[in-house]
Amino acid sequence: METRDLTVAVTNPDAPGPPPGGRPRRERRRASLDRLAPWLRALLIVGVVGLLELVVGLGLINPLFVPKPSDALAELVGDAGEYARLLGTTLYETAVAFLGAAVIGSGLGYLLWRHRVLAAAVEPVLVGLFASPIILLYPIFLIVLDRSVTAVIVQAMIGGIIPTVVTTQRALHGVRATYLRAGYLYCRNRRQSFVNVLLPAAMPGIVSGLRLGLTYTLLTVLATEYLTNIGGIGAEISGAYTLLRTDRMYAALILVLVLTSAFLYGLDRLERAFHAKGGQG
Amino acid sequence: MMTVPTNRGWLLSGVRAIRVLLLLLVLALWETVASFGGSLRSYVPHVWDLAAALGRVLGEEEFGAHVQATLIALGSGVAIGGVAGILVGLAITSVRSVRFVLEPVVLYLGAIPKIVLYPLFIYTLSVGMASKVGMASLSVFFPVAVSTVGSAWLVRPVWLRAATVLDAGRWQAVRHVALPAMLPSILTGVQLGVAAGIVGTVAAESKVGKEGIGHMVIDYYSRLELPEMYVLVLLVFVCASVLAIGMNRVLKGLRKAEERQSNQPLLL
Repeated sequence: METRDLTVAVTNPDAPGPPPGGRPRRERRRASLDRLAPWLRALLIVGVVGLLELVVGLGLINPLFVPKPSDALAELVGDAGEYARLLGTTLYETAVAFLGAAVIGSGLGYLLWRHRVLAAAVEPVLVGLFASPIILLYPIFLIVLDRSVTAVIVQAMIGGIIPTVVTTQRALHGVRATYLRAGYLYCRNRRQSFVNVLLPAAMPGIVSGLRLGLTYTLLTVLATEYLTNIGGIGAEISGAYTLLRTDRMYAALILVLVLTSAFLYGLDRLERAFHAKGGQG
Repeated sequence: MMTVPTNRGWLLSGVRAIRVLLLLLVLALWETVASFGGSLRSYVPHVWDLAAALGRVLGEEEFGAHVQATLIALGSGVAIGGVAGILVGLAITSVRSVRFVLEPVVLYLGAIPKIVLYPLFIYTLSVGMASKVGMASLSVFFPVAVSTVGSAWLVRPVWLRAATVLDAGRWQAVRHVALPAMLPSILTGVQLGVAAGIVGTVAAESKVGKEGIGHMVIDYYSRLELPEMYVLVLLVFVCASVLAIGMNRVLKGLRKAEERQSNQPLLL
């Protein structure tokens, strides 16, 4: 991918073209910006949190609605055992739901890749489901599966299946025809061709799809927990809000922010590592 | 006159046949469970019960008012969140160092399930339309802002350099080079934002409040009027799907038009 230089050119369009030796200077500037960015980001977050602490401390915001960040953090640390249990429940639900979503979603994605007419037939359904509020199905699961963690898991699994189906199908479609012909020529049967050629070639795309599926699954778990008051951190937010325990509510919100950020960061690193390994291979 | 079916013709007829078959299969499965599903029978009403429930739902006195409440919240959310998302995205994109610092922050904040932040809106805007609009706006804001910030990657430096060489001013470079290149990605963000806005609005209505489609679904659930609840959920899905498919077609049309335009020979 080409490097971006939108700002430089847009803010100074009358500037002459890059002088000889100008490019390394620009790259040096970019590298220093790369190094500085995380620190500036941390500074920004600390600044915002500090400002909130000050504003609430001065009584400019009612602490009944927004507690001091230090109070929320103290609550989180003080009741760490309980929050760890809630986190465990959320992670357990996410893991089981994702397992189901990955197996069913990848299978359906493969089926749609194999049968072009079937894929064309269900494409509008997938587009529609992708945009539909799947979360609205939760009362149905509450009725059929009772108010249980299973209801949250099934709801989250449905939330994770659709992106997995779409991305798996796209990943398989993206495999070059040359590879498919090679598989046809050099492998003894379709299974061998699938395992030795198609799957490795499509794997980077499939991994990206699974990453998307896992993210959707986690988000659906948290949202369903909040809406149904069942399970882990999401349910804690809802319960604390009902009891007007804003310190607990914000402590749980901090946990959600940390959890989703850690998930996103971890999955991003994993995907990059996988792609780098694939690139070397 | 006889016409020879082309490959595309066969494909289209095959697609239609499969769609009809799938629909019949789903109906048959549903009806089998409704008739012989053991304990599941009490949760799965017959198809004709659903048809009757559709009439009851549509004929309900307050149905129009609930739909209106949802549409107002969603429309306002799309307008506020969409405009704010594009403006914030463009502001972040326009200064390189700001983009380096803020792009990951927007990305990570965008990954939070917005519905868990709904209590914050209730605290500040109280239960009612204002908090729902806030929820919808926030849901729309992040996909639009993330796509707008990401769209800067689509502007090739060579295009901007070409604009500079052609003596284009700063605003001209933005208007005629940067924005047209960023537009498809921004529109995709708006499409995702509308979908997120629907989710945010109905989820908020289902949690707290006394109006809107989400509230109606929960109301039917609490009264155990299952056929009405199923029908309403299905109606919401159909409407959201039609909207998504329509927007998808518009976006495809725009992309094709852009490709045609970019493939035209340059006349000097």
